Amino acid sequence: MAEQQSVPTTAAGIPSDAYVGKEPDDQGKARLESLPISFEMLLLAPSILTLAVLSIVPLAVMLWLSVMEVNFTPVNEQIFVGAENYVEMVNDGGVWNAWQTTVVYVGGSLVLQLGLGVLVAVMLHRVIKGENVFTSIVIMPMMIAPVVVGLLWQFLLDPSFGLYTYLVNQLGLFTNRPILGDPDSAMTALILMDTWQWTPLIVLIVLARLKGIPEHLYEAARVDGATGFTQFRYVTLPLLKPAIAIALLLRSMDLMRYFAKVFITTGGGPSNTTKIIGLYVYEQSLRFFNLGYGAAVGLFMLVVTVLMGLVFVETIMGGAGDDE
Amino acid sequence: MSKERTLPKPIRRYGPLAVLGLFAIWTLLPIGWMFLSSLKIRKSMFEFPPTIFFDPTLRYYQEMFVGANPVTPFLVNSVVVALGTAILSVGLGTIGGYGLSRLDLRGKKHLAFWIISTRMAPIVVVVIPLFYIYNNLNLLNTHAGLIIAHTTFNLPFAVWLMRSFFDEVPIALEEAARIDGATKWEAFRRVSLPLVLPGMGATAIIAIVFSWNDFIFALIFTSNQTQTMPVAAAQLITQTGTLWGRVMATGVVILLPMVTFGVIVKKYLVSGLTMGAVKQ
Amino acid sequence: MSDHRLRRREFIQSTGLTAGIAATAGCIGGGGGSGGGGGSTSQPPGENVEAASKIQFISESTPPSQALRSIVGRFTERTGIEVEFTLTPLLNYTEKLSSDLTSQAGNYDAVYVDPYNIGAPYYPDLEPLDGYIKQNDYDMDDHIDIHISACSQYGGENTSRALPYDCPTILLAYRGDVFDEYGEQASSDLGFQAEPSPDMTWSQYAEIARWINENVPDDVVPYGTGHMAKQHQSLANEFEMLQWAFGGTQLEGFDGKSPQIPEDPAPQFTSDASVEAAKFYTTLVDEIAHPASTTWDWSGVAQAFANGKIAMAPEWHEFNGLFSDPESSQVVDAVRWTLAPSGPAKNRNVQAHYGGSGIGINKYASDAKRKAAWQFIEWTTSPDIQFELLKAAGGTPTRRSVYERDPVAQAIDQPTAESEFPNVVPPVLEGWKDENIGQRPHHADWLQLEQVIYTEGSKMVNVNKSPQGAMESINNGFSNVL
Repeated sequence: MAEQQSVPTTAAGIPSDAYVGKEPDDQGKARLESLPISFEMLLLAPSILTLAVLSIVPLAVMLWLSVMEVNFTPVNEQIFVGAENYVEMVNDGGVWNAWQTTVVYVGGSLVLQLGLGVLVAVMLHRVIKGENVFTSIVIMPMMIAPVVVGLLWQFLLDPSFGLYTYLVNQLGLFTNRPILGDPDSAMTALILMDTWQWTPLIVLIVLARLKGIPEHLYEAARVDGATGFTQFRYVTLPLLKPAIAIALLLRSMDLMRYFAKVFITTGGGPSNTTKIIGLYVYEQSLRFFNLGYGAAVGLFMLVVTVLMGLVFVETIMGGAGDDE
Repeated sequence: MSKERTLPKPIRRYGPLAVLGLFAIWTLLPIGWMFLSSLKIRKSMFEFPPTIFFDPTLRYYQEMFVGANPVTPFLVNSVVVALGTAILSVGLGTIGGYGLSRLDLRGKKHLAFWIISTRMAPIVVVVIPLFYIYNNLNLLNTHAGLIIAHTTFNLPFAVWLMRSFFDEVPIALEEAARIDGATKWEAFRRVSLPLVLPGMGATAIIAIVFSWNDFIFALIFTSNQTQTMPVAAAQLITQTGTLWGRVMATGVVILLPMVTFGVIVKKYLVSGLTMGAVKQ
Repeated sequence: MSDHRLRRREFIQSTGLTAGIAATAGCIGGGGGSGGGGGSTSQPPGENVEAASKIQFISESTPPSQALRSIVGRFTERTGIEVEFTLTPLLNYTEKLSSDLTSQAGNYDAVYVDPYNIGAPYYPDLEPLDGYIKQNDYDMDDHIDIHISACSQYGGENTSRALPYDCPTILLAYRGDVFDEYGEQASSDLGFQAEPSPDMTWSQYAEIARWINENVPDDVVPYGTGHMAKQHQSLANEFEMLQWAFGGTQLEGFDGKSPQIPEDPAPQFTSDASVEAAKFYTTLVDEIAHPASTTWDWSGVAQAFANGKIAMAPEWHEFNGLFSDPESSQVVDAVRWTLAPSGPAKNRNVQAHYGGSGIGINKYASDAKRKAAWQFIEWTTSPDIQFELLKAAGGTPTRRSVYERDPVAQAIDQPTAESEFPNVVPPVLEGWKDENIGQRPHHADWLQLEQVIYTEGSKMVNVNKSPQGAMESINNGFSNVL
């Protein structure tokens, strides 16, 4: 438990302390021409201060809340409960279910988006004309508000008048089962929704990388007798790895964080099969006002996300692109 | 796929086109359907099998702008908040991104990571404390409050993205200006800044898109006078059913400007959405 | 009372403290616009206070509130008080208002009071209205008794915290045309009267629905029954009604006839009656009802009924407004209403489910705002406005005197297609009688408890869980919350 609590502090807290603390004192005195502190740091300071207020403060409040039990009714009180909220979290089937659902949601979306995205990018790379038009078309879904995406897909999948329901019915499927109301298909539908919206990003990322692969590598491979799939497997794919990794981590973080589409379409149902962790925390905190417990689960979620982000930055972007 | 070598020529030639064509249809169909449905009268909207040919009506758009509960105030709120957060984020993000790009410091990596990590926090972790702070500062249900809330996710992104643009400006240019007697500020202001103007524009637009599309923050921090378009859309789910005609028309109004923006900044979009990790 | 207020203030300030902005926050929070400090008084603002010229009203986006918004101009004309409406879906409304009340922000002055989501947990934050009622000679006794006990009074107090405002009630809607044509044949096949009446039992209901599935052509109506079995509050509401009708209950010592709860109530879902109700509901939804039932909440059922897809459905009576609108409904001439079927229970009878709500005043609003808010809620719940809302197919009156008006009294006996007031065509007055009604407990955690019911209930009707298992899970879920 202590481990879980300490991670966000080291990941997000300490570096900030190291820098935030020193700068403000000097800020006022500094004239741009005669720089007692580094000019660069001075420029960065406003952003750091803003973010410190907007993130460290909430973090501190949440840490405090997570060891309290906050009751509003019938009497208002805050009771210090120590690690009790965290213990409850470990024993709460709802949390485990939410994490399982999250893994399916994130995992399923990633697999589908990556597979489809790489396929489309590779095909697009082969085509000589029309790339501009094609990419202009496919970026559209990314620009649409998640709420609208959710509502739109709910409309498409409605059991009594949805266009997609109709099309799927023509294949003899789901004639008697509503797609969003069936525990087996609701999650699939949500994954498809996200895939529809975000595969284009993967296409663009992978395409950018494909364009950067020098032609001579393919020629060398051809000399060795590798063509078609073999060439893709042994030349292209390894070179795509960094791009794929970036796509993977960006998407997984957003999939964890945002839940508006789920919120609008299934609200977590049926049978909790689509209650992802973000939504679970939202409900605990803002619907049932279990502020202490919600804070504990939310912080744990933060730790997981930050760790994932750490992996992202460390391994893929070469240490945040540090030039040191 | 493994049999590709033996695939007949037509497939090799038209295969990619077919894949791309299908993908384009899969992408466009829902959007096109939304547009069509926004023009359908109630009865044809609920027909099954769905109809493609019908007498179009602009009724829902009309209702939306001149009806009893017009959407215009929501639209104004959305614009105010999106512009506000874009200006704030790009303003701070540009100088911050420059600072981060040029900073020579041990542990810069950690600093950079901390900046971006603030964007990873689960929404609730940000929302609840902000709610109580806002309550004390009278920021609830104000445009300023929502602008600040949106800045929590736009600023880190703007700093990183602007930093990646500044990384591409050769330091040699600034050094040349410094030799000619320019101060550091002037080197930044007159040499590097003009070179990243397109990048600033792209950052601003992407910040606008994020803000425009946000739902949860807007849901919690606003009431009647400050609600934005996505909240307006969600309110069409009423106790007695979803007003699908209005939903479709509202959806079109929400997405049109953003899709236009997307096409305009397409060149920077990948860079923007990957926070500078991928250059197109 | 003052003690508890103090502690709440401490909480808010301590969050501010942790935030490192206590100095500013303390000042601003204390002096800030709302002037909430005066809120603890149960006396209405005095004569010297001038009513505010603009107030905020928050409500679930319900038909009466929408209708109210369209006529609120008249109130402004009369009083000079502008009312800004914030209308959102039920859960968003709950979240917004509970945040506002618990933080004492006082952003909303007049508030819609859902008895279970807001009234039961947050009633101490609602202004006691007794002083206002006395001062203004407000005729509280004109409201039908059940609305006062269900929507006005909380926590065992004898204090009114809200005025009865609206009163949706689950009854049974069915297609008259189907029974006119096939009723006789069905009656002779089944051996009892097929057309729904107050005498029908749930098991007969299931048999009739099955009979319609099998014998009525799909182009007349494809399914006999439809249900609100989505993972949504609707599932809980429907199941609660069945549970009571079968003789079961949610909490030990609670019988669905009064919202009062016993001390330390224990969950009662594993009783034989509750499990029987669960088995019955599962069969009804899974084997007999329209298969889309598991995706429908109450509005999904209403839509399906209006589109002619189901012959019978338990439904909130106010959907008759939708059914009577030729533009949205294909069943205008066909819809009929009766009490919901009765259960096998010997100990009690429940053939209707209560879903009314009140309208009240935020205690943390300033004196001027509370004064204006009172004028607004008084106007809103007056006989004339209840009549207007009824005319707009928005609300349903809670006042006896409105039902006594001639046009309303006539409308009650007319078929929906002819009636000017579709909301009073269903037998609501009959449903509200003590011997027919079922109502939920005023429990502070009911929102969360109800989520347990519909989450596990959703597993049950989606065949992930046996009825027995689901009831056990609900019991466990209840124990965790209680």
